Amino acid sequence: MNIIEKIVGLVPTVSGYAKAARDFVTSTKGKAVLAVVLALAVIWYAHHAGVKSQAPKIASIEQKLAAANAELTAARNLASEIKSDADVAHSRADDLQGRLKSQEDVAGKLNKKVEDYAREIAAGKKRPACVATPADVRSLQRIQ
Amino acid sequence: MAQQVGLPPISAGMDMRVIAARYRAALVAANKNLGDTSQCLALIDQFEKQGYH
Repeated sequence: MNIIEKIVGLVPTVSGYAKAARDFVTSTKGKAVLAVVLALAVIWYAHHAGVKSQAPKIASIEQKLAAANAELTAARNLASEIKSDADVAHSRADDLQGRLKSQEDVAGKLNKKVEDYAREIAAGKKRPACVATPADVRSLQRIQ
Repeated sequence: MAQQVGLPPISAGMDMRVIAARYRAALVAANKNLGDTSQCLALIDQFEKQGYH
C-alpha cells in the first residue's frame, strides 16, 4: 500500500472527525464549553498583562522597601548606640554623685575637727586665752 | 566639683588658735578642691580622646 492509498483510506475517518467537531461547535453544549474556554483565555491574558504592567511599580516598591529596611536597621543601630552611650553617661553621673558625696563627707569631718578644737580651747582654763584684739582683726583682714 | 572656699570670719574676742584652725581647715578644703579639679580635667581629657564612647 503506497502513501496515496493510505491518505485516501484515511479520508472518511478525518471527514468524520471534522463533522463531529463541527457538530460539537454548533451544539449548545459546544458553544458553552467554547465560551468558557474563551473567557478563561481572556482572564489569563488580562492577569498576565496586569502583572506585566505592574512590574516597574513592583520593582520600585521593592526598592523602596529595601531602602526602608536599611533605614530601619540604621535607626536600630543608632538607638542601641545611644542606649549604650546613655548607660555610660549614667554610670559617670553615679560616679560623680559618689565623688560629691565623699567631698561633702570630708568637708563635714574637717569642720567637726575645727569646732571640736574650738570647744576644747574654750573649755580649757590652763592656758590664758590668746584673744584677737580689734587691732589684730584689722591687721588680719587687710591680708587678702 | 570645685566649690569656693570662703574665708572664715575673724572678730575681736576670738581665740587666735581657733582662727588659725579655721584657716588651716579652709586651706585643706581648697587643696582638696584643686586635687578634685585636676582629676576631673584628666577625666574630661580622657573622654575627649575616647570620643565620648
